[in-house]
Amino acid sequence: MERHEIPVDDRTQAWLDAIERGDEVVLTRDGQVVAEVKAAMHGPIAAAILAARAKVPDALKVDDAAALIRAMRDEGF
Amino acid sequence: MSSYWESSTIATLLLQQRGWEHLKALAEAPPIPCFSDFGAGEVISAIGINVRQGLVDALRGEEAADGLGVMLAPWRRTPLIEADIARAARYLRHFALGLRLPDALYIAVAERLNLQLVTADRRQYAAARALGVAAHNPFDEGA
Repeated sequence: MERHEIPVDDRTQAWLDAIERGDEVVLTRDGQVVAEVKAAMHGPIAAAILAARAKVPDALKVDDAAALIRAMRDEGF
Repeated sequence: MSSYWESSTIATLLLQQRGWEHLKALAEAPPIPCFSDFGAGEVISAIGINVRQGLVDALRGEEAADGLGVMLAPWRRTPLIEADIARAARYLRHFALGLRLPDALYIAVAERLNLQLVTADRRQYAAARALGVAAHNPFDEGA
Protein backbone atom coordinates (compact mmCIF):
# COMPACT_ATOMS: atom_id res chain seq x y z
CA MET A 1 0.00 0.00 0.00
CA GLU A 2 1.39 3.39 -0.96
CA ARG A 3 1.07 6.61 1.03
CA HIS A 4 0.04 9.67 -0.98
CA GLU A 5 0.71 13.05 0.63
CA ILE A 6 -1.14 16.18 -0.45
CA PRO A 7 0.87 19.30 0.48
CA VAL A 8 -0.98 22.32 1.82
CA ASP A 9 -1.15 25.01 -0.85
CA ASP A 10 -3.44 27.90 -1.72
CA ARG A 11 -6.09 25.47 -2.96
CA THR A 12 -6.06 23.12 0.00
CA GLN A 13 -5.49 25.74 2.71
CA ALA A 14 -9.24 26.33 3.01
CA TRP A 15 -9.75 22.63 3.69
CA LEU A 16 -7.12 22.73 6.42
CA ASP A 17 -8.72 25.81 7.94
CA ALA A 18 -12.07 24.06 7.96
CA ILE A 19 -10.64 20.95 9.63
CA GLU A 20 -9.03 23.14 12.30
CA ARG A 21 -12.41 24.72 12.98
CA GLY A 22 -13.81 21.25 13.55
CA ASP A 23 -15.75 21.18 10.28
CA GLU A 24 -16.21 18.00 8.32
CA VAL A 25 -14.29 17.68 5.05
CA VAL A 26 -15.19 14.85 2.68
CA LEU A 27 -14.29 13.82 -0.86
CA THR A 28 -17.23 12.94 -3.04
CA ARG A 29 -17.75 11.18 -6.34
CA ASP A 30 -21.07 11.61 -8.10
CA GLY A 31 -22.47 13.07 -4.91
CA GLN A 32 -21.41 10.13 -2.78
CA VAL A 33 -18.86 10.45 0.04
CA VAL A 34 -15.85 8.29 -0.73
CA ALA A 35 -13.35 9.62 1.81
CA GLU A 36 -13.21 11.68 4.99
CA VAL A 37 -10.35 14.01 5.85
CA LYS A 38 -9.80 14.37 9.58
CA ALA A 39 -7.32 16.12 11.84
CA ALA A 40 -4.35 14.00 12.79
CA MET A 41 -3.88 12.91 16.38
CA HIS A 42 -1.42 15.29 18.01
CA GLY A 43 0.46 15.61 21.25
CA PRO A 44 -0.59 18.20 23.83
CA ILE A 45 1.46 21.05 22.38
CA ALA A 46 0.23 20.55 18.82
CA ALA A 47 -3.34 20.01 20.02
CA ALA A 48 -3.15 23.22 22.04
CA ILE A 49 -1.90 25.16 19.01
CA LEU A 50 -4.78 23.91 16.89
CA ALA A 51 -7.32 24.62 19.63
CA ALA A 52 -5.92 28.12 20.06
CA ARG A 53 -6.03 28.90 16.34
CA ALA A 54 -9.65 27.81 16.26
CA LYS A 55 -10.41 30.63 18.70
CA VAL A 56 -8.83 33.30 16.48
CA PRO A 57 -11.22 34.94 14.00
CA ASP A 58 -10.04 35.11 10.40
CA ALA A 59 -10.05 38.91 10.57
CA LEU A 60 -7.18 38.73 13.06
CA LYS A 61 -5.07 36.42 10.90
CA VAL A 62 -2.15 38.20 9.25
CA ASP A 63 0.25 37.47 6.40
CA ASP A 64 3.38 38.15 8.43
CA ALA A 65 3.14 38.03 12.22
CA ALA A 66 6.83 38.82 12.66
CA ALA A 67 6.37 42.04 10.67
CA LEU A 68 3.43 42.94 12.91
CA ILE A 69 5.52 42.53 16.05
CA ARG A 70 8.46 44.38 14.49
CA ALA A 71 6.27 47.34 13.55
CA MET A 72 4.84 47.40 17.06
CA ARG A 73 8.30 47.47 18.64
CA ASP A 74 9.69 50.06 16.27
CA GLU A 75 6.76 52.37 16.82
CA GLY A 76 6.32 51.81 20.55
CA PHE A 77 9.79 51.71 22.04
CA MET B 1 19.09 22.51 24.06
CA SER B 2 15.76 23.95 25.17
CA SER B 3 14.34 26.82 23.20
CA TYR B 4 12.95 30.17 24.25
CA TRP B 5 10.29 31.51 21.92
CA GLU B 6 9.79 35.24 21.67
CA SER B 7 6.64 36.94 20.50
CA SER B 8 7.23 36.93 16.72
CA THR B 9 7.22 33.13 16.70
CA ILE B 10 4.37 32.84 19.21
CA ALA B 11 2.35 35.30 17.13
CA THR B 12 3.14 33.33 13.98
CA LEU B 13 1.72 30.18 15.55
CA LEU B 14 -1.45 31.93 16.64
CA LEU B 15 -2.14 34.67 14.11
CA GLN B 16 -0.42 33.93 10.82
CA GLN B 17 -2.45 32.63 7.89
CA ARG B 18 0.30 30.68 6.16
CA GLY B 19 3.60 29.13 7.14
CA TRP B 20 2.72 28.46 10.77
CA GLU B 21 2.62 24.66 10.32
CA HIS B 22 6.41 24.63 10.11
CA LEU B 23 6.62 26.25 13.53
CA LYS B 24 4.04 23.86 14.96
CA ALA B 25 6.29 20.95 14.05
CA LEU B 26 9.20 22.73 15.72
CA ALA B 27 7.20 23.47 18.87
CA GLU B 28 5.97 19.93 19.33
CA ALA B 29 9.46 18.43 18.99
CA PRO B 30 10.96 17.80 22.44
CA PRO B 31 12.05 19.38 24.70
CA ILE B 32 9.03 21.49 25.69
CA PRO B 33 9.53 25.07 24.46
CA CYS B 34 9.76 27.98 26.90
CA PHE B 35 7.96 31.32 26.83
CA SER B 36 7.64 34.32 29.12
CA ASP B 37 4.63 36.39 30.12
CA PHE B 38 6.39 39.26 28.38
CA GLY B 39 6.17 37.41 25.06
CA ALA B 40 2.54 36.52 25.62
CA GLY B 41 1.86 40.14 26.53
CA GLU B 42 3.33 41.41 23.28
CA VAL B 43 1.05 39.09 21.31
CA ILE B 44 -2.00 40.30 23.26
CA SER B 45 -0.85 43.86 22.55
CA ALA B 46 -0.81 43.05 18.83
CA ILE B 47 -4.33 41.65 19.10
CA GLY B 48 -5.36 44.83 20.91
CA ILE B 49 -4.06 47.01 18.08
CA ASN B 50 -6.27 45.14 15.64
CA VAL B 51 -9.28 45.43 17.95
CA ARG B 52 -8.76 49.19 18.22
CA GLN B 53 -8.47 49.37 14.43
CA GLY B 54 -11.89 47.77 14.23
CA LEU B 55 -10.86 44.52 12.53
CA VAL B 56 -12.79 42.61 15.21
CA ASP B 57 -14.84 43.60 18.23
CA ALA B 58 -13.51 43.38 21.77
CA LEU B 59 -15.26 40.07 22.43
CA ARG B 60 -13.51 38.40 19.47
CA GLY B 61 -10.25 39.94 20.62
CA GLU B 62 -10.73 38.47 24.10
CA GLU B 63 -11.42 35.07 22.58
CA ALA B 64 -8.18 35.28 20.61
CA ALA B 65 -6.32 36.23 23.78
CA ASP B 66 -7.93 33.26 25.52
CA GLY B 67 -6.68 31.14 22.64
CA LEU B 68 -3.17 32.30 23.38
CA GLY B 69 -3.56 31.04 26.93
CA VAL B 70 -4.78 27.69 25.63
CA MET B 71 -1.84 27.45 23.27
CA LEU B 72 0.79 28.21 25.88
CA ALA B 73 -0.71 26.10 28.69
CA PRO B 74 1.48 23.03 27.99
CA TRP B 75 4.62 25.17 27.43
CA ARG B 76 7.20 25.95 30.11
CA ARG B 77 6.77 29.44 31.56
CA THR B 78 10.01 31.33 32.15
CA PRO B 79 9.74 34.47 34.33
CA LEU B 80 11.84 37.54 33.66
CA ILE B 81 13.99 38.81 36.52
CA GLU B 82 15.42 42.24 37.33
CA ALA B 83 18.86 41.28 36.07
CA ASP B 84 17.41 40.65 32.59
CA ILE B 85 16.61 44.34 32.26
CA ALA B 86 20.13 45.38 33.21
CA ARG B 87 21.59 42.89 30.76
CA ALA B 88 19.21 44.08 28.05
CA ALA B 89 20.25 47.67 28.71
CA ARG B 90 23.84 46.69 28.09
CA TYR B 91 22.86 45.10 24.79
CA LEU B 92 21.05 48.26 23.77
CA ARG B 93 24.33 50.16 23.91
CA HIS B 94 25.36 48.23 20.77
CA PHE B 95 23.51 50.86 18.76
CA ALA B 96 24.42 49.44 15.36
CA LEU B 97 22.42 46.29 16.10
CA GLY B 98 19.19 48.28 15.95
CA LEU B 99 17.74 46.60 19.01
CA ARG B 100 14.64 47.81 20.81
CA LEU B 101 14.15 47.00 24.48
CA PRO B 102 11.86 43.98 23.85
CA ASP B 103 14.40 42.53 21.39
CA ALA B 104 17.15 42.86 23.95
CA LEU B 105 15.08 41.45 26.82
CA TYR B 106 14.45 38.18 25.01
CA ILE B 107 18.13 37.86 24.18
CA ALA B 108 19.02 38.54 27.82
CA VAL B 109 16.66 35.82 29.08
CA ALA B 110 17.95 33.31 26.54
CA GLU B 111 21.53 34.00 27.57
CA ARG B 112 20.81 33.82 31.32
CA LEU B 113 19.08 30.47 31.04
CA ASN B 114 21.30 29.07 28.28
CA LEU B 115 18.30 28.62 26.00
CA GLN B 116 18.27 28.91 22.23
CA LEU B 117 16.30 31.98 21.22
CA VAL B 118 13.72 31.11 18.55
CA THR B 119 12.76 34.22 16.63
CA ALA B 120 11.20 34.95 13.27
CA ASP B 121 12.64 38.47 13.36
CA ARG B 122 15.77 38.83 11.25
CA ARG B 123 17.11 41.87 13.07
CA GLN B 124 16.78 40.22 16.45
CA TYR B 125 18.23 36.98 15.15
CA ALA B 126 21.26 38.74 13.70
CA ALA B 127 21.75 40.74 16.89
CA ALA B 128 21.58 37.66 19.11
CA ARG B 129 24.18 35.94 16.99
CA ALA B 130 26.39 39.04 17.05
CA LEU B 131 26.14 39.08 20.86
CA GLY B 132 27.15 35.43 21.05
CA VAL B 133 23.72 34.13 22.09
CA ALA B 134 22.39 30.93 20.51
CA ALA B 135 19.50 31.73 18.17
CA HIS B 136 17.43 30.08 15.49
CA ASN B 137 15.25 31.68 12.83
CA PRO B 138 12.98 28.94 11.46
CA PHE B 139 12.30 30.99 8.33
CA ASP B 140 15.92 31.57 7.37
CA GLU B 141 17.54 28.70 5.54
CA GLY B 142 20.60 27.56 7.38
CA ALA B 143 19.76 29.70 10.40
